[in-house]
Amino acid sequence: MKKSLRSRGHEEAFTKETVTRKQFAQNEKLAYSHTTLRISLEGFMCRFVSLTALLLVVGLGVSGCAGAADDAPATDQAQFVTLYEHLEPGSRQVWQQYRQERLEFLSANGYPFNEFVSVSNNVARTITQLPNGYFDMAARQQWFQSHGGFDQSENTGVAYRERTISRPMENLWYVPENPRVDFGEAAVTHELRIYTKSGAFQRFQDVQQQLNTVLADHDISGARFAAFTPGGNGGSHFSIFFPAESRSDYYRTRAEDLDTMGEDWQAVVDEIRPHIRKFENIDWTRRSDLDFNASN
Amino acid sequence: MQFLSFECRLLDKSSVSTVTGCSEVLMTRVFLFVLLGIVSILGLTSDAAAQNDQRLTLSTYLHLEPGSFDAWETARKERLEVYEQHNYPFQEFVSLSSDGIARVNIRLDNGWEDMAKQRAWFQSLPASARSSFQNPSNGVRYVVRHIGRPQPDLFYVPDNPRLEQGEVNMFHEIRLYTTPGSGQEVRATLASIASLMAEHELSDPRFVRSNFVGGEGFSYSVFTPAESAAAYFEQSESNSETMGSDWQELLAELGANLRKIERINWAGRRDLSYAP
Repeated sequence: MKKSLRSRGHEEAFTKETVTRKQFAQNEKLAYSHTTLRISLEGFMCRFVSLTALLLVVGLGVSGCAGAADDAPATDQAQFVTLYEHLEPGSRQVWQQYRQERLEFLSANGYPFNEFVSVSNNVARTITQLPNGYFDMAARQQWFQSHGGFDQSENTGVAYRERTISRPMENLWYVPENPRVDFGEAAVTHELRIYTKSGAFQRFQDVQQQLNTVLADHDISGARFAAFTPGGNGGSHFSIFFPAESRSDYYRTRAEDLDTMGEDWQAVVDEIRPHIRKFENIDWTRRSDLDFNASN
Repeated sequence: MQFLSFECRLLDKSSVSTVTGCSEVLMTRVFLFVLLGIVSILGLTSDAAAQNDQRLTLSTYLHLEPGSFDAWETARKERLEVYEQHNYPFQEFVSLSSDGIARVNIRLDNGWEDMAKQRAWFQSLPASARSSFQNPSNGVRYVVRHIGRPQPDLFYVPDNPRLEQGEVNMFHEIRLYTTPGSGQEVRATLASIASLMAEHELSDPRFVRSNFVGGEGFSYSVFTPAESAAAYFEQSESNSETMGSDWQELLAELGANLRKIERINWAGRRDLSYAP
């Protein structure tokens, strides 16, 4: 089997656009040596600690998260909390101004968590990485309690906000030897949100792994990452993330890839279809200028 | 601990009938279960919460396929057996809405630490036990999850509650979705409402929780216990009349900061609930 299931930092949760291809290659050599199909909590934490150490060495800004871990000896699986801000029509500029002010507030008060921003139509998505899972949720909450939060009484351009907590599903990642687009270089991430039927959690993963084998067999060069969100607003769902240079790049290469895999792909998709209740496709445009890097 | 004693009375009648003929140990256990189960709807007593603001409530909403309640009930009972066999350490309180949603409320006294502990427990289960939770015929269409926190400073707990022991069969929930940036104003209005209720010495308690992860955005849930849906609305109208124009003004103030309101009647199902 190729490195389709190799451990690697999840999309925006573990990588930054500032990572150069060279750095990324070094990261690959140092941190991503595991090829297990299924991960145990213990195994994941080992890899996560390795990755965290590596990121610290290359200065990618997880010092605050490490600090939180010092105070809390207990550990948890890495997760990320996602804030979806549904914007009023025509209010993107207002929201951007609000976001800039928020970044100043976070920076001035030493907020210890990284935030990664993307936008899609009228939704702004902010992912906060939680290297120590729920323990980091507690630390993050304490931080906001001690700093008085952020004054949101002024017009922010937001109609309403939703929050979800998700976890990376490393066993479903597909990372080829030489990915066509590194996540560090992706200007767009396409999200395929898959709502499985009740009771299909394990079956879906089994079939998804078969799909990854088909990808590897056909030397598909596009990487894909996966996460699981238990009980989101529309129900529990898996998200498959595809990094791309642009929206057109995603759709063009996707069509080419499907053409290449042909019936091999379709046969596995037919197997997975009965376990799926609903799909959603979302194109997220990265806005690294609105990210928050805790190390700065 | 006034609220605690009130909760003790809520389900006592049915708990007595349940335990008739049981041993003293079993009676104690059932009594504690009933007591803790109903408290877990809100996740706290007011005194305890004041000392422990890290407490969370995890609510899982199971949207059932039409006509599949029996299948879900069977699957739920099988799940309870797994809990028993593997010593699941958390209380789960089950209630049902009239529109086909089963709610499982889990009380997490140690907040996020308990969230991690709960997940670790599920992951530690042997594969055979885990597979029993993945029965495609369990009657569930999809699952939504909320994480919330009790707001004891917004509770109203009367000295002499109207309902007697065992008279509470349901909770009426009003879910208030705030407009962005108005959370503090809504909180202030809810506090004023609690004060107004106290001023008029109303006999119906109300409990408040904030929901900040999951669902359709941030919301406050206001819970009122009642004998039935009809009794709830009857009493609600009577209370409105008693409070008069002050109440109407507060409602208008509240409404100005909301973008959506939902009302749900939750009927408790202690036979499908779990206490460690």
